[in-house]
Amino acid sequence: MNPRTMPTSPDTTPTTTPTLAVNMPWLNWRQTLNLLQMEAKLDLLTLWRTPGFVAPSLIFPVMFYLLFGVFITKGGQSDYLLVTYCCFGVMGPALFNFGVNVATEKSQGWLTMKQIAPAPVSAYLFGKVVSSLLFALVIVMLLFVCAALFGNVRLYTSQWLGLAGLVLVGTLPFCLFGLWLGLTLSAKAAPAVVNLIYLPLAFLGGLWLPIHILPGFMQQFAQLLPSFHFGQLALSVIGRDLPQPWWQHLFALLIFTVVFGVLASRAFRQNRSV
Amino acid sequence: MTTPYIEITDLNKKFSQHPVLNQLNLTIQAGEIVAILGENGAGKTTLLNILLGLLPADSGEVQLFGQPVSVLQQSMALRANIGVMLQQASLPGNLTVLEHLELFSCYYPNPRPLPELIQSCGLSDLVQQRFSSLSGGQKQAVLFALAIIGKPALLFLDEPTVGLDVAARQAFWQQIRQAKADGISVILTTHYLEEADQLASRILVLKNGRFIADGSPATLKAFSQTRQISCCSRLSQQLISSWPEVQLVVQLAAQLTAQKDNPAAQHLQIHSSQPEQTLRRLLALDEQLTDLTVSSVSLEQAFLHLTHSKEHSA
Repeated sequence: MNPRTMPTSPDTTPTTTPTLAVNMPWLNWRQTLNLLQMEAKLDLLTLWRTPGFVAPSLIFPVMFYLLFGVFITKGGQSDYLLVTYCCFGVMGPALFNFGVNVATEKSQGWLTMKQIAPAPVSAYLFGKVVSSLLFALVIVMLLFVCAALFGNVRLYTSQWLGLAGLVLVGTLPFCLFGLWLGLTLSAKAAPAVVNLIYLPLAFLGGLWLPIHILPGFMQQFAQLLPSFHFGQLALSVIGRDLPQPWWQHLFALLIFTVVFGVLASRAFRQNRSV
Repeated sequence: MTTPYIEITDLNKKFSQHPVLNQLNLTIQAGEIVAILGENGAGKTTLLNILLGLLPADSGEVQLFGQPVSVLQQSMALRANIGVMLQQASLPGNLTVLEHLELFSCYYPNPRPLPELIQSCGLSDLVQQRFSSLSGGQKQAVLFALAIIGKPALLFLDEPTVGLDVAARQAFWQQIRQAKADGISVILTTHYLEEADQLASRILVLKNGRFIADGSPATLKAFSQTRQISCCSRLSQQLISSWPEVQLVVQLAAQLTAQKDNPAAQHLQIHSSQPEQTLRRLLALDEQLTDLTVSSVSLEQAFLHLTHSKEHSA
C-alpha cells in the first residue's frame, strides 16, 4: 500500500471535521530547504546560548595549543601540534553536540515529539552536523591564526586548505560516535561519560603530545583509537614523515565510521520503540 | 461504512510478566472527544504510546485512520494528521517560544499561520521569551500550540493539566474546547474527573488494563443509582456494611468528628443503591442519629465506587 495514501474521510462526517489528507503533497524543495536551514539555525542558537559549551570548546584547544605547542616546546613542534590540536578541537563539538545534547533532547521528550511529528530525522541530524561543523571551523581558524602569529608556522596555501578540509570531514566518525553515545546514555550521565571518553581519547591518540614521545605500549594501544588515525592522517597533509602509510589511517577511520554508524542507527531503532 | 479514527482489537501488553493492558477493545469515531480516566498506573500512558507507535503491542490489532499503526513510522502524511502532547515533555529551554513554533511549522506542508496560532493560544506576550523562563501553564500552552500547529484531525493529550493551578487549568480547557469547535477529535487521558466531565463527550474508565466503563458523563452518573448518606451514628461500620444495599461505608477520622454530647458517635459516609431502605434501618436502630444528609454522588464518587466494586468482585 502506498503509505502516503490516506483513507477518504467518511461522508457522514460533520462539516466541521477536518478532512484527512488524501495523497497529501509533502514538503516541496523550497519548504525542505527552509526546514534544513531552520534546524541548523536553531541547533546553532541552542549551542551559542549554552556558555558551558561555547567557552570550553573554543578556548581549550587554543589554550592548550599555545601552552604545549608554542611556549613549552619553544615552537619546535608548533606545526605538528597545530595539526593534532586541530583534530582535538574539532572532536569536541562533534562529541558534545551529539553525545550530550542528543541525550538531553531525548530525555526531555523533544526527540519523541519530533519522531511523532512529521519531522524527518535526517533534518535533525543535518542541523546538528552543520552546527558542529561551524564550531569546528571557528576552532580551526582560531588555531590557524595562533599558529601563524605565535607558533611561526608556515605552510603552503594548499596545506592550510587541505588541513582545514580534512579535519572538518574527519569529524564525521566522531559525530556518529557522539550520536551513539547520546542515544544510549541518560542525560545525567552523558556529560561525564563524554568527557571521560573525549580527554583520554585525545591524549592516548597522541593529540596532546606527539605520539612518538609516549612509551612504546601506549603507541601500540593508540592503533585501536580513532583519534590516533585521525591525527596521523591529518599530519600526512602537512608532509610529515610517518611510520605508517596514510591510506592505512584513512582505512581505519572509514572502519570506525561504519562501526559507529551501525551502532548509532541500531540505538536509534531501539530508541524508537522503547 | 465510515472508517473509525481509532480501532483497537484485543490489545495486550505486558511489562515483565505484569499485564498492563488486557484484551482491550476500543473504537473512536471522527468528532469524538474522549476522556480516558484512570488512576496512576492504570495503563493510560501505555495505551497512548501504543496508539502513537512508540511502543509495540504484545498482541492485538491497532489501527489509526484505518491503517495499522506501524505505518506511522514510514508515513509522514499519516503523522501529519495527528497532534500530540506528551506527558512531561519539555523543549530546549534556551530557544524562544517563537523559534520553537517556527521550527515545528516547518515540518508541515500546510501549517497554521503563526500569527493566528499565537493569538488563539494566548502566546502573544510570550513569543520572545525563552522556554525555560515560562510558568508551567505557559509551557503547556506552548506544547499545545505545537500539537495543533499542523492542523491535526486527531489530538492526543496525555494528562495535559497535571500540576497546573486552577486558573491555568481553566485556560487550558478553553483551548481544548476551541479545538473541539474547530472539529478536531480529541483523546485525553486524565485522572481529574472534573476535567473529563467538563470536556468529554465520552468517558472511558481504565482499570487494571481494561475499560470498566464507557459512556457519556451523564450515563456514567446514571450507571450508578447510588446516593451518599452522611450521618453521625453510634452504629458500627461492620453492621452497616453487612446490609445488602450498602456498597461502601467510610468512617471519617474520629478526632475530627467526636461530639461532646454523644462521644460514641462516629461520622459515617455510606453509599447505598437503595437509600430509602438504608435510611429506615439507620433511623430505626439509632434514635440519636444526627447530622443526616443525603446527596447524589459526584462523578468522582461514582467512579471510585465503580473501581472499588470491581476490585471486590475480582
